[in-house]
Amino acid sequence: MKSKIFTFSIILLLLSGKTMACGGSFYMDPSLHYIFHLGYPKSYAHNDYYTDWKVKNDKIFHDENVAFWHKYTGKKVSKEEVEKAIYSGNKPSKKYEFFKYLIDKNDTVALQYWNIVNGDLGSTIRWERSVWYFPTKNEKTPDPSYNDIPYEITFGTIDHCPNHNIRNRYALQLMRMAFAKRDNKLVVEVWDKYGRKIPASALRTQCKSYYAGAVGNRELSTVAFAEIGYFNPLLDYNTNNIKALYKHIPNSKHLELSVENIVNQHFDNCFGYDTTSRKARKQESEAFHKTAEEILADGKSNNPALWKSAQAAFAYIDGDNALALNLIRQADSLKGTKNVKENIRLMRLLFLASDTTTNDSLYENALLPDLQWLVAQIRKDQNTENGFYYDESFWYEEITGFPQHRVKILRRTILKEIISHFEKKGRQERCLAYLDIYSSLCNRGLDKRHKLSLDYGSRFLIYADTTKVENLKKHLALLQSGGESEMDKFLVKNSSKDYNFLNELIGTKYLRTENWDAAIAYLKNVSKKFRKTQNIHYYLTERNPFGEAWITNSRKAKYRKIESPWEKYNDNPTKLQFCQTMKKLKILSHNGKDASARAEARYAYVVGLYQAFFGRCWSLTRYSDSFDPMYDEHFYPNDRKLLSIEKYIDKTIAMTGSGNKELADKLFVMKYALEIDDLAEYYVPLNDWSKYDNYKRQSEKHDAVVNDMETELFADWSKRCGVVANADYVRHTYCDQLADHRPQIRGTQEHTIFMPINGHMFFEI
Amino acid sequence: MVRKIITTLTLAAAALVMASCGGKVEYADTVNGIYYWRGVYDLDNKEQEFLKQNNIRKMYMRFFDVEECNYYVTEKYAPMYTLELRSKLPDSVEIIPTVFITTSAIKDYENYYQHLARRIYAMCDSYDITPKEIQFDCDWTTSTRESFFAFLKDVRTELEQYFPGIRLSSTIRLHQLQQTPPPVDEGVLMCYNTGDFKDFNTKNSILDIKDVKPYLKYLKSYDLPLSLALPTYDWIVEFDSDKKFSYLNNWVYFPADTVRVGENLWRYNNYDGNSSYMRHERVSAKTILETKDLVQKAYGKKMNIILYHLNSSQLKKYTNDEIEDFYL
Repeated sequence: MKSKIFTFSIILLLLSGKTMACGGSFYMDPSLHYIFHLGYPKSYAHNDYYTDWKVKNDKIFHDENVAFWHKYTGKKVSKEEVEKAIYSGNKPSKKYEFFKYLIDKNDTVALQYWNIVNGDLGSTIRWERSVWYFPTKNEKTPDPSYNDIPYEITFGTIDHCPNHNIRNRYALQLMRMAFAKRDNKLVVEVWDKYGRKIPASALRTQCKSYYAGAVGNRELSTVAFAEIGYFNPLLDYNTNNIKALYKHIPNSKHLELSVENIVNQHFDNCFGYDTTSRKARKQESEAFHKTAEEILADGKSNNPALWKSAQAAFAYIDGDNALALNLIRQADSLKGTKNVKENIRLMRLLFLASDTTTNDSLYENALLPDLQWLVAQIRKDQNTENGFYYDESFWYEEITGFPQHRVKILRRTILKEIISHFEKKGRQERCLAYLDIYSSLCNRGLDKRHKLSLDYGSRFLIYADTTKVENLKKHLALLQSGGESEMDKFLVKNSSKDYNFLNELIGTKYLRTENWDAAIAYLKNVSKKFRKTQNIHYYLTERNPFGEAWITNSRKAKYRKIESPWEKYNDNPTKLQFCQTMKKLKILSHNGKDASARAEARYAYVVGLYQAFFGRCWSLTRYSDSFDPMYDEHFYPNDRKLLSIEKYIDKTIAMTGSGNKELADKLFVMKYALEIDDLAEYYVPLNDWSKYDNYKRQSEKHDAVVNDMETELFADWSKRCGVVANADYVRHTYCDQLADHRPQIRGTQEHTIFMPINGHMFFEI
Repeated sequence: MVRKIITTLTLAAAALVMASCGGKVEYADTVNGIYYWRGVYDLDNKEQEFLKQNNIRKMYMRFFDVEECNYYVTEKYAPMYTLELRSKLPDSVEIIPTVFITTSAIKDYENYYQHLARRIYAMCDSYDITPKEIQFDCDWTTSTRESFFAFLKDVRTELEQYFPGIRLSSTIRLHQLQQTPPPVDEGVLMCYNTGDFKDFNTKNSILDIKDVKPYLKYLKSYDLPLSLALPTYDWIVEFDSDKKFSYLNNWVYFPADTVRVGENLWRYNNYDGNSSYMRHERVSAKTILETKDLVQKAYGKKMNIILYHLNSSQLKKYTNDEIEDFYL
């Protein structure tokens, strides 16, 4: 027994260390926790957005280029031929019709231009941005130099270029080369001298992207990037940049994204692993509030609700729920875009739910309208083409903006705020009611027959499995009665109303306490159809809890052959059958015809207990095997069960006496099996009873070795067990982790503000 | 007594001379080689020992694959799985950069062969390799032959810029023996992947002598110097309950409750209650040696032997003596 405790304590220590180290067993996307979202796809913050933007601009620039040079030839060279030549990457030669035209015309300006673009330097720049690029030994130095940049030629050509269109293109080439050489000053000079005069076109966008990257002033960069519609470099943002952008373009569409980003950045700074100091966070908030107030007072924004709602978000993140609620109500009365308005409604629900002071009736009355609306919206989203993804299981997909965000807000509202509210009031049955609608809406993605989708993935089940049986019975009663208040009716209407599931849960809870009569009463109500939908179904049907697999460890084929009075269990293996058998055995163990019969019944009973609680038939008492550390923590209290089983064996051994040698041997081995470390992988072959003596010796040796260590650890383990055994504690930890778990890394921004070169793969011609 | 000592010494000296001659004969006209087909170059002690023990002179290192990639907008075909060097390359072994190109990618070679050559150069420069030979691996067929051959000609011109006098080699699959040899300096006959691993009825897709035999007749007249590559790897081919191919697993692992149902076939129960099948494919030393003898006999002379591939966890399934015999 002590060695088992020793093992448990080691595992517990390891698990607790692991849990602390990684902040819970969940890996979740950063945006899972953001409360401020304006409906743009999350891809705006990732390469997808860059790719979309680039593809769009590549196409525009490509078409514009081809059209320009086609026109340049007086339409004498077809667009196809022009395209073939200019995108060949080759210097002008008569091989290409377009270049042949220029050579025949002796157009030195255009030919020189193409020599530069498709020449060695041009191809070097292109090579460095190509997917084929691999740095040579020399190129590993951070600052590659391009000593052969033909500045003079380019400058001279620009100034004397008779055709302004080609002149502008020369300007682009010079900016491109200067940028590649990190000569930012020259980039800005060329932009100021030539670039600014280029009319709106893809060419201007190209030039401006270099200017934006090279200008060296965050505010100017911000405005420039916003003007060309490239949002990525704006992500590394602060309030000053927003102010600058507002000053130049008060109603830039990028303001919404920038504000969203800055709110979420603040969220990271407060709750992330790399949190900033309290003072820095305070300064951040104050700066934003100040800027927002200035902008609102300025009155040029046609989207004032954006600024007020962002202030509300800041207040909520900073922990001032009352101010957050006040601000969000103000925001609701201001003018705002559709996205901002929806975001306000979502945040209002969340802020209302965070109230822990109001009495339950008022609290629920306040929540009801927005909650009804949100649930209806999610249902509507789920009925669309992408509806399958609007589920907690697909958090990482981020198909579109709002539908995914609605799920996230409902998740935070219920799991974090509403649960906290009712937990504080000791009303766990109410928590169950809210979790029921949440899981039936947002845990649909659990594939019941997939090995990776354990039953334990449902938030409702996580909670239900650790709450007291009375709470589940109350929840069942609420569903059956239909409820009284409006919120009751709403909850009942939107819950799963899965009576099979509830009966199964309640029955299992009674099974765990060996209350066979009560367990049977509930498990009788569970249909075969429902049982088949459970992921544990396979284990229930395949594993016989009265087989002596505890001896053979994993040799299923062998233990099936055992002849025993309980062999017929296999005919209809269910939890109900198990409870009925255990009940009979318990009766037999008291009323058996003689001591030997009673001992045999007790033996079978204890095998059943062991298998169900610690053996291969874990599916009788649990909804997941031990791979989930959270589940393990829930289950540790059952170590007490181990003690009771051992006592039971001792009594049975005493009853058996010397009358039944085989049974006595079995009991001894079983007792030993309970004690040995599972990890030691002792394996006792069936029907090889002669080896028992050997195992007995091993057992003694093993006990002697660990004896000293476990004495010390046992005290520590007891303390820990006392804490971990508290289901409420576990539940709170779980929910809190869900709500406030933050990613370890914010995500590196590959395309930072001064480095568009890494991102640009334009057709730079 | 003296006579006895003299006799003994004479015999010992003769044995010594014979043994040393034997060693020279073993490696005099053939070169032992091995493929390195992993993403990261980081040899463990056993692998380093393997190189020394078996006198490995050539290592064919997969630099990268060229295949379709949807990630990039401008490039349909891109270099993938680029080799990363984490430990020093052995001084005594010649490194042969090897590039695998898919059949769909080879059709589009004109768009990337210059980049490909430059990339090989950059990688060699970066990794301090001065190659004498570069190998291309492509499962070309009649429909892609022209593209592959044209690629070899064009890429040779490009590579010459970086590595004057470079020699090119190419893998030759058994079915390719029926065709004209590619325009390279040397070929490596791949005596593995001879069967269809996706077929449930295939016994061993890695190497089955029955699959090799029909092609032996082309060897004698094949107009390209050939080395011989032999398989020393194993894998698991998984099939669904309806015996449809589901997965090729390089990690050889048997789940619990696996029941043997055939010579190299196992059945196990999935979590979904259905049965799946696993075919463990491994080529015995006997088969490898038989194949080697057959091919060399058909070819008419001794060939350089290259094993596929350097991986201690797979090579350990053969004894040192067996490995020595493969190379003999």
